[in-house]
Amino acid sequence: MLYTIIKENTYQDSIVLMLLSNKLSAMDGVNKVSIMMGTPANKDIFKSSGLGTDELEKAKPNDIVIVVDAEQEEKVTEVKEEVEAALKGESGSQDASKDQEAHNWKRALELANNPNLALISIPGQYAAMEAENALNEGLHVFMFSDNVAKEDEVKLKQMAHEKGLLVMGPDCGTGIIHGLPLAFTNIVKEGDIGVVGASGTGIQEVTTIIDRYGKGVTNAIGTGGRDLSTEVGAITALDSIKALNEDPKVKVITVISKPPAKEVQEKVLNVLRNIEKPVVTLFLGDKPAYQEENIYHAYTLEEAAVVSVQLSNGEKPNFEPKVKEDVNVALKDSQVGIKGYYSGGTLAYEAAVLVKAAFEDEVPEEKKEAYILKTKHHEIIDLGDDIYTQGKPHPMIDPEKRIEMLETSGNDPETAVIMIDNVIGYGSHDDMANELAPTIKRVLENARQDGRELAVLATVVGTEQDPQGYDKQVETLRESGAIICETNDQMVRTAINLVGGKVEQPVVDVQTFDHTKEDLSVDEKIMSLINTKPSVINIGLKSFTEAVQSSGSECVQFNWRPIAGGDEKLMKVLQFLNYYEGDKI
Amino acid sequence: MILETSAIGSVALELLIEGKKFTIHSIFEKGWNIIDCNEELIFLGTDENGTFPFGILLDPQTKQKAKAEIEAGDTFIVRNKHLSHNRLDIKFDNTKILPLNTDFEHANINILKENMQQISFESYESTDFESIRVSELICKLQDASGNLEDEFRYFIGRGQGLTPTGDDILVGILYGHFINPFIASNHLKTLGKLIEEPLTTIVSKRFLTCALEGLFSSKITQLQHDSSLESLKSLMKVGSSSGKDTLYGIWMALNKE
Repeated sequence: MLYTIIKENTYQDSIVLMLLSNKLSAMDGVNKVSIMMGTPANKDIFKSSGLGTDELEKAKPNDIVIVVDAEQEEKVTEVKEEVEAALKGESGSQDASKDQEAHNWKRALELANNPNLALISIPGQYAAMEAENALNEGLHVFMFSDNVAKEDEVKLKQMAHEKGLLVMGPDCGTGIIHGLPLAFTNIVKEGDIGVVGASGTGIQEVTTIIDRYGKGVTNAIGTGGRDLSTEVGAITALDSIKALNEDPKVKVITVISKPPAKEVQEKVLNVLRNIEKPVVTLFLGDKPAYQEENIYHAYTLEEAAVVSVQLSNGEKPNFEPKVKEDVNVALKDSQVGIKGYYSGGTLAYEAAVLVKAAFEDEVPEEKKEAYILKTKHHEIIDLGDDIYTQGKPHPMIDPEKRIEMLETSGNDPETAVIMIDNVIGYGSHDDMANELAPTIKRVLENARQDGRELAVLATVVGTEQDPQGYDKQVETLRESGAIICETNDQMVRTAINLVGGKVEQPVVDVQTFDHTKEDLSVDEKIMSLINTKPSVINIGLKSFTEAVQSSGSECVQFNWRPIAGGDEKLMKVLQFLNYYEGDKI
Repeated sequence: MILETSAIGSVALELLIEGKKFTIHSIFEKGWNIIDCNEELIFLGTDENGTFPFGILLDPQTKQKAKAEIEAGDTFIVRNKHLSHNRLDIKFDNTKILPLNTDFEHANINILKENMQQISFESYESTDFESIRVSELICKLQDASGNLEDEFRYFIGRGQGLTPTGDDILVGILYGHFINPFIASNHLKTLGKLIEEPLTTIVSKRFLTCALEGLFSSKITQLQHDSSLESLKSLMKVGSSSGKDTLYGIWMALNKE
């Protein structure tokens, strides 16, 4: 049965009508539906497609006409309600484009407003292909996806470099681009410190400390953990450093990475030695053996942050590590173990570096499972390691594993100190402190009943602007009995102090090195990326789109589905053919 | 609240006669339309879809502020070079006039054609506007003999959207004609006469009447000055399919036999 609905003198953006048409077509009991302006030519279309009715003749060119072929009349009421909602709810005032989603590149590019950045979080085996598509469309790429082959990373980064584009990642957990937080990131004040980092939580720790010192970071460019490997050759890091150097708003450049391959480190240092702006480097794990006139080599994340702040203030670098002195815990002689259960990989790594340095004579046991460090007495675990996250949410979202570890180690009579991090910001749990607090309370109480005392140390990585609120998280943890440390550095040194150890801060001379002249120019497209609010196409996790939009940037959600039924080989063939035909749009 | 306009199109300016009354006809994401008693239409809004000879350009903030105050059916009256509404006043006295961009001779047709080869129009083959039908019309347009009223009636007002696909294709064909003239004048007259009939939406009629006079949106005239793929892509992004439909019309006109 055919039913006609005429909305006189009604106009809508055509996208609204198309969405409405899709919605109505999908309704149970609706066989066919067509929505068009009531022009004579369109009336002919209605008729020729079997949707001609008497009422249709009354429609005028400026009326919206909807003809529905439905089994029961009651369906029409439902259709009318949907029509009213669509025409009223969307009538003009809302930015309809914000609600638009694409299922392919073509549509995504049509919907996006001058896009310049693709944020990719689809499974690793497909991510490289879509990154290549993005580069071919002239977009910079932020790859949150992991499990991307190293050779693909090399290929993508070389391709990007040739095109004057940047590939951040793969496995890039964090980034701030012109004040826009991407993926797992904190809301940090904008400012004159520029950060390039090959580690996720490393960037988070450094930028949030900078924020809490009252300074800011407008660009924190994540490179992915393998960027400084021999094969990749720091392509992204070098382009990023050059971009920050060229940006007049950047006063200090801070580079964070695990120790790179020697020749890559030399390459990076050579570029940095060409730069006149003050530079801070942290090759986490290397104890600095020297300082340079214009390059400050830091030992820990906090040191890198504090020195960056000092340089940005025009002050002389001066870092004194802090230990929490007023910790009132009576430990027994048998309580000697430090246990660190981290959600942040780099934070766990930093803890391991410091604990190892403090107890050099304790030979670390062979690395197994996700132990970053395991000695006779101490253990540091990265609960974000694949072993713990397979089929389970990341510990920044799911407290379960941490609760279990807290219980187990709390019951161990050898445990002296337990360390935990609480990384807040976009992507993290809404209130992790509240999840962990009851367990901390119980663990401390159980130990007391057992005639022991324990120190549970905690540090919150975040800022007051983060949705969870830094102070609120700190307060919840403090109330549970945890001792709050301002930074991971402070937490680990406090733990070491409690069991009678100490980490010596390196005391080094200023040395001068020869360097070869380097071309510091960088493509305009990269400068434009870091100097304007990015317009993003998000391929994958929808929550990233919401985060980007809530930060006031434009974002089109691309709901990616594998073509060719996910058959990788066939997908690659199709990908090849797509470009073989000559960049058909 | 007094708001400033950024620029104004010459067709719009001619319509803004002191004391004249306009009614808000429709409100969209990027702006709104007002019409006078003769259903002559002016668009007020941002230039995300380009600027129009019948447009009044507002910056995004001004558009947003104004949109919060208006509703369809509200009245604007022209007073002292202001468009006065009971909650806001839009000034257009010192605003600059948008260029008409009728320098069609600057178009580089060869480069335009070459770059357009990068765009696939294959999807039109499964629509009411398959290439044979469009090229047949274009072929007949070159020949002054015969009356094309039926052909035009097929195109005008046909298809989805506020500016139906057939109309957008006609605008594209007309642009193709202005940069490389081929349409016999009697057919232009027929088209001009037909669009006075109620065959399409008010908005689409406005685009067609302007196109007949050689007045196009800036996203289209941009092609005269920059025939790059970027310009083509920028036109394609207009509306949900309008830009692409226009481009299809241009492509068919430039590739006529």
